[in-house]
This record gives sequence, C-alpha cells and structure tokens, in this order.
Amino acid sequence: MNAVDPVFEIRPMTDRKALDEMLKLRWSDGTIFVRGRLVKPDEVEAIGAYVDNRLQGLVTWRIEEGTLYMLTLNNITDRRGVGGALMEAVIKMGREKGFPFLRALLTNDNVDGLRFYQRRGFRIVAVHPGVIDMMRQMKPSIPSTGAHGIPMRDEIELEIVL
Amino acid sequence: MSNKPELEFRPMERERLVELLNLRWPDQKMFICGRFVAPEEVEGIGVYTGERLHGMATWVIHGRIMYVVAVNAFTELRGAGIGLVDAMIKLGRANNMALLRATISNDNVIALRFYQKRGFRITGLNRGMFDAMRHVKPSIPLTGIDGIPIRDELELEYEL
Repeated sequence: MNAVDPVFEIRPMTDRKALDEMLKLRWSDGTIFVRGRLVKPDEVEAIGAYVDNRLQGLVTWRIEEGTLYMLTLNNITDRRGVGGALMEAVIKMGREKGFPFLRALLTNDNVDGLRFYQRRGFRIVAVHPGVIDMMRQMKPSIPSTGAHGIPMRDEIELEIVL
Repeated sequence: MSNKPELEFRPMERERLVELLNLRWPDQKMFICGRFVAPEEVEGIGVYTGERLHGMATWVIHGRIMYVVAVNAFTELRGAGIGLVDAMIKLGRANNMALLRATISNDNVIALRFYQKRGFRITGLNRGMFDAMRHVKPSIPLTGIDGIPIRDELELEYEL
C-alpha cells in the first residue's frame, strides 16, 4: 500500500506558467480556500505523476503558518494508484524538509476521501462545522451539494505524523 | 414489479429489546453520552413486515436529547435503515425532543455517509475516545473498516 507504483514518474511541476493555467481551469473562480483564506494558483507548489511524460494526476501543497498542507489531490486519468503515489510523494518530501506532520482538509461530503486518507495513516485532528457555509459567502461558486447528494457545509482536518 | 412489502415501524417490546441488546453487547457495556447505560434504559423502534423484525433503532434519552445507541439492520430489506431514522425523528418531534445525536467511530465512513444523507450535521470530534474506552472495554477492536485504526469519535446531530 505504501510503495510508490514504479509505473509513475513523480516529480515537481516546475513549468510555473502551465501549472497556473491548469489550476485556474480546475479551480472554480481560479481559487481555493485554505484555512479561511483564498489561495491563488501562484501561491501553491505541485507534484505531478507522469507516465511516458504524460501527466496522470497532481497534488498541490503549501506551507500555511508553518504547517505543511496537502491542498488538492486529483487524478486526471482513470489510471489506478495515482492518488496514493502522489500522497506518498508529499509525505516523503515533508520528511525530507523536516516537517513534523502533514495536514489535509476535506469537505464533510467527501467520505471516500476520508476513507482514503485514513487508510494511509492520516488521523482526524479537527472538525470545523459550518466553515464551508462561511466560505460560500465569499465564494458563491462553491456548490451547496457534494458527493452522494450530501450538503457541503463543514470541513474535516486530517494529519499524518511524518 | 412485485408489491413492495409494507414496512411497519413500531416500538419494540421491552423483553425482546433487552434480549437483542444483550446479544449485541454481551458485556452489557454500551457507552453513550459519556457513561455506561444498562439495556433497561434503552428505548427502541423496530421495523417489521408482519411479525418479522428486520431491524431496530435504539436510543437513550437525556434531557431533550435523544442519543442514538445504534441503527441495526438484520436483513437485506431496502429502506429499513432510513425508515428507522425517519421513525426516530418523528417520535422525537412528537415527544418534544430537541436533538437526535449519533456518535460513530472514525473508521465508519459508511455511517458518516448514511447520517449525513439523512440531514445530520457533524458537530464534534472526541479525540482518542475509543482509545480511552478500550481501557474499560478491551473488546473494542483496534482496527475497523478497511483496517483503519479505531481511535476517535465523531458526533453528528439532527435538530428536531
């Protein structure tokens, strides 16, 4: 489960311009919320998973007030194992940089994500009831309903010790 | 195609309820809202077709809060779980209760989905609750669904 699938080449996405363009397209309004603040593509770093030089998925990360956060984790093909491989890459990078832990934020509807993260060693450290409702005031493009038809309202914060 | 069996929700006979609770919790240790409760304190609604019991919802009342003990299905009958929650909501409203509160272990994303689909909100996290409970009740498994360590408790609420 923890081994990085050798089929992927995992490397930082260094083409800043291409990355910004892609994230602007992927993120509604071109921004994401992190700990109560709107974050733009040029404020994050990304690691990509490639096969034959073709991007299969990417993870974005950022240091927020001294804490390392995994922000978004996306497959862009249906190849299996991309998410796990990218998560392992961020964990490895965090260890190399000497961070004590890595955190991630999930919306309350994302029960599949909650399973995925917990299976890989993350533990819930906090719940933030109503935080998505609050964000929606500032960013109305946040949908009211998410996965499984569950209203998106709260955030679940997870952590893995590095 | 065929006629759907008529589901009937009704309070369970005390004797049957206690018998089932003892089967489910043989060590009689149900830890609800911060204390151990005895089967005699638990109330329940069953879902039946005729005389056949397909599942039950159980709770304990404290003030105006109904603490859900469990929602259990015994058969594959569809709609029994949601129907039981709806029946609890209806009964709670009729009895002027303020809240339904359910607690689940961190690994139980299936219950998290189930309760949230029915309108429950996540209201709290009790970190290490299961680690602590395991000291008094060593039968609590270390790992749950998908091998996820069982350590923390999530609290969900439904306003009546």
